[in-house]
Amino acid sequence: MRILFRTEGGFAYFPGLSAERSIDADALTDPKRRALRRLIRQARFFDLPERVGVPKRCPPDCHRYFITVIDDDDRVHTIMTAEPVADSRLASLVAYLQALDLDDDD
Amino acid sequence: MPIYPILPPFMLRHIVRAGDAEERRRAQYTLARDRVIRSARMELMANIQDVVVMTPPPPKGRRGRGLRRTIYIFKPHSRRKLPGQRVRTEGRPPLGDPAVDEAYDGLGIAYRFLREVFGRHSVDDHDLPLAATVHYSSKYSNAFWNGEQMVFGDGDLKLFSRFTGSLEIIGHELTHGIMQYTAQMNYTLQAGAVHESICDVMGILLKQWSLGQTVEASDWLIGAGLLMPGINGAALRSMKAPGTAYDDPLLGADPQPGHMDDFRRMQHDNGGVHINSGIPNRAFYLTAAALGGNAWERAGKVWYNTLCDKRLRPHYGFKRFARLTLRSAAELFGEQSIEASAVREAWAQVGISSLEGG
Repeated sequence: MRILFRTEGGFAYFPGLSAERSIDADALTDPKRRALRRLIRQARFFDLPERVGVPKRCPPDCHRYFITVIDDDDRVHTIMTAEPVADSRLASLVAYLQALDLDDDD
Repeated sequence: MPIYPILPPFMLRHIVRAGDAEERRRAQYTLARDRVIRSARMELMANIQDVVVMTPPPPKGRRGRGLRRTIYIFKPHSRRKLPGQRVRTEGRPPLGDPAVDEAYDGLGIAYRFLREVFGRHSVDDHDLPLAATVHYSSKYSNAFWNGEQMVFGDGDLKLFSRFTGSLEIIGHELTHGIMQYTAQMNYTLQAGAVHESICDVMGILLKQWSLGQTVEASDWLIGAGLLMPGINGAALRSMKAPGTAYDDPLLGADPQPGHMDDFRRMQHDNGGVHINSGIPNRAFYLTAAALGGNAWERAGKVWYNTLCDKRLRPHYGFKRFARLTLRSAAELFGEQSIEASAVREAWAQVGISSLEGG
């Protein structure tokens, strides 16, 4: 399973943080891989529409997130969501992906 | 990876069907990536096409009620709804929680600044109560205005510290609210960069006013002190010298231009609204620097007057905004005034000239 994660918008633009992050689930430690798979399953990611809670006009400085998951059955799904992420399960997935972004050891 | 950046989608889909495992994986990756990029492009186009001239909403407050602040703490487990749990209201003593008390104090300073310097009664000019939610989400490195209130994160504490710790950020976010009730500038491309720049201008003026700082004494930094120790940078943006705020292995190098020659055309960041804002930011700094003294007294009045000018249309880019600042300076101080001259010269120095007429 591979996850692509990109954050757009925010109070400032940082070239080093704007790049799309590619996460190979198989390269993660067992607990992290299991947690990630559980969060994707709990968010019912492949059943989500392409836009989840994204208003027509996003508020200024608001973060938007682009998440793509390619699962082991070769299914590919991309969604866009925006802060505040009202769906708590999707919010948990976003928070986890952000935390993975902060880890240097993955 | 990505390995197949120039292959058309139909060929990639063929590779997904017929390629070996590794080829399939690469093609899937590229297809997925294209899909993300397409989504972003569609969104930007939707925003650009959504250039509707909207009437500003009617004021929600009641003039004469004065300053009324409410600070909330975000509760992630209560359906993640804003504003959250109310923890401090007007007149209540400090809570001892730095984020709560910084937001409370910052909103108070901002209210007095608007009232005393510009005669404005809060965000809507009708004493709209000021609300802010702090401790938003978890390790959240951002601040934003959601159309009704301000929202502040605590920072990830690796790159960024608390967003309430910076008064100019509080002023910046509050100004997004003012924009909502006045100019309603678009939030894409040049108009979006003007929008962002006006928020930075008001943010830095708030900081200078609160500290009693002259043009010369100010650092002209937005988000000073926000970057964690160890990060190579002084702030998020520099209005005096755009492009010099940070240069760090994790953050990258500050991409802001300070002149039209370096204007960035891009799809990210709503067409570079936080990047190209460096150009009008520097024009404001140069105006203030030419006039000296307290920036809020003359340069600030010109910019605020422009923000409230009914001739300012939501889609106006740099040049038309610049023309209006020159008209404001002429109307406030006279056509032959040193203020009008300073405005004209400042815009010329960032590559925007011929402001008369149009």
